[in-house]
Amino acid sequence: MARIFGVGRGLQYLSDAEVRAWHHESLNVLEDVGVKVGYEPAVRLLKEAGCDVSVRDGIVRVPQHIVEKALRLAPSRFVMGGRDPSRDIVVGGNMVHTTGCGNCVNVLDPESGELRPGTFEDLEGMVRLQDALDNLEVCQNPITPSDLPKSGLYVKTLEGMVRNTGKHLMNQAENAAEVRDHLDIMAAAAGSREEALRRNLVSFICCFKSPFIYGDTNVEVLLECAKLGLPVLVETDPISGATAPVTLAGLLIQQNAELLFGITLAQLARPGAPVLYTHAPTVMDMRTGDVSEGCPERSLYYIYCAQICRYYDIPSCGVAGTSDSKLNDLQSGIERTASLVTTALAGYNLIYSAAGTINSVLTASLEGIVADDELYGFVGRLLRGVDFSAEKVQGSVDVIKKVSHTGKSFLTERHTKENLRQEHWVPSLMDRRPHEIFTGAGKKSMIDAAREKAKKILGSHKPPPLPEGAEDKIAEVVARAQSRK
Amino acid sequence: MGKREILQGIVKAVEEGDGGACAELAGKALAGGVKPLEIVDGGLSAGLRSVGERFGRGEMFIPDMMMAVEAMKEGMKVVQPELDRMKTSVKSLGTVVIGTVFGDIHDIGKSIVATMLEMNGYRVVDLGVNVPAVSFVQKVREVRPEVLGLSALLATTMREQKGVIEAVKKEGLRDRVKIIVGGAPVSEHWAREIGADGYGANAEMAVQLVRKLVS
Repeated sequence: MARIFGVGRGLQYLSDAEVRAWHHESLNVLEDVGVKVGYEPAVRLLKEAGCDVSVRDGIVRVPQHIVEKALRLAPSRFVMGGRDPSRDIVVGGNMVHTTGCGNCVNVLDPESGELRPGTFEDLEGMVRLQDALDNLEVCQNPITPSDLPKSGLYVKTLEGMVRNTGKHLMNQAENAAEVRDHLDIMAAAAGSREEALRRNLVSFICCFKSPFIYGDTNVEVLLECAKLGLPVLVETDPISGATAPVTLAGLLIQQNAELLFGITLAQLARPGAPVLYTHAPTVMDMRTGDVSEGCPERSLYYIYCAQICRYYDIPSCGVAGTSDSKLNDLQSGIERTASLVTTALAGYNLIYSAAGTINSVLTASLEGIVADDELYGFVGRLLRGVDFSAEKVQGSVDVIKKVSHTGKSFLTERHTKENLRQEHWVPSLMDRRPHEIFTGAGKKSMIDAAREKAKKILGSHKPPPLPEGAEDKIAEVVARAQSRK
Repeated sequence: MGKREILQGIVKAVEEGDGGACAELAGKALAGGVKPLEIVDGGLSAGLRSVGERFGRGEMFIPDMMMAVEAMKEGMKVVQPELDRMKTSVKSLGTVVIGTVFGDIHDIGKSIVATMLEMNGYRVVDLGVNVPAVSFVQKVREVRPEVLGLSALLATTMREQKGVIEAVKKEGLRDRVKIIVGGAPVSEHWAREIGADGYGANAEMAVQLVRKLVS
């Protein structure tokens, strides 16, 4: 059964006519400006489809009807499966889902709290921790470990992920061969290649450079995923004022055109290839040149893009709930909550890469991951809304009549006992107790409580075991990838 | 138009990032007999200083500064042949060779650092992006910079910074040049580990670092 984190509420700023105007402006730009494509097989594919490939500079200009057709072919929803099928999610429509921590470089050391480069051991610990946290639904590669050789790096990280969680896995690949390595590993974990493909047990992030540069390796990866039918996160991360116009409208037009190009390319490689419209647009702080991951403009981008993705009926994915703070502190709490709430209410389908991260998504921590599981639970409650079904209303009115003016409370009513678990969200870290208890317990903050919870989970949690013999098969694939030049 | 007016016009053109006006006024100044070094000191550099001060006060932003440097360069194009002819040159505080390492095509951060260095009186040789180690080595040998700056945006490409440092060492040039590193995933820790001389967390820190290393 597909899990549902929550249902987006369609927060929107644009009229339907404005969304269509934005779409058409993007198509015009794609046709006029075009995309620089650094991978010959992709250029051939585009040319055969009727795109205009400039002999002089290799820029591909895409006629509007080709994009429109691709948008019709791209699936509205698809499964992102885990080797444990109870962790499967279906992305698309108005459902909102989440991933865990993604693509950090450094960690806060669990013992000393000091910043240091992340290792493979950190990666395995984070994945195992997240396996126990239900509000983080998909497992993305949490860090790029500093202690692994460069060749076959992502394939090795997949090994660390697959043995520590039953959730859907999301990673990157250097080339087409590594995409196939990922599939081989998931086939070993799921028992067969057919099963791994049928439920899309692994997906790939393909990030392209703004403005309009589709470089070689990620295009190769995108085409291979599309051919195999594995989900691709087609991503660009434009920076307002630096790699995109300073006007937010300009950025939105540009990045929409950039993503429509990648989505079109995937559909040309295989009609119906599952793609996620993915982006982490941002602004540069023009006083310093620092790029912000916690800016309010990020939330605006997502509110608008949720609307256009609904118009396209294609799953959307973005990095919401991130912070530029160097600490798990008030700034972090404000930035991540504001962004997460607005993006989730807008109905963005997959919120990714953010959990447990600070320092502009460069630093991850175990306690941050646990704290975000709590925050995501809070937001999940917002998304579930209020149940106003006839049955609930009737039961509620009955109990109002029964209790009122009797001098009694609702506490002893069966109606209360039967409904409270669905109605109230129960926090596990947020402290609602009196000050005296807080003092008596050593004045621990939420992040202290999160750290303790992380330790407790890591001391006891066991992820679902891999099938017999799978570990050896996976190790073989990793060795093969690492020995490849 | 008198000399003072022309020089003031150049200052204003630099402040506004108007390269066309800068070049035109520099030409006018030369034709009017103003010495090229005076055009630089009283016009082009004065404009940059003014922009730098207003940037420091938070009244101007990075795009203002980058465009001011561009405008200044347009003016220099006009003045430089005169300087060459008179066998004089504009003093710089030192030379920095800078580039984004091989396998990485991200240029924004590196370009901001280059501009900030130019603003602060350094000569910058920008090798661009996706620069192989051998090209860095070649340039170090050729222009003998005080500092070599290596940029990388990705966790995977920052390893190439180590490769460049090793290449510089292998060619026997390591003691001739200070090497600094930067880029989003780079840290103090990483800089130490690969034997760099310093790490600039952003453009402002990169300038401070160069100042410290060169003085």
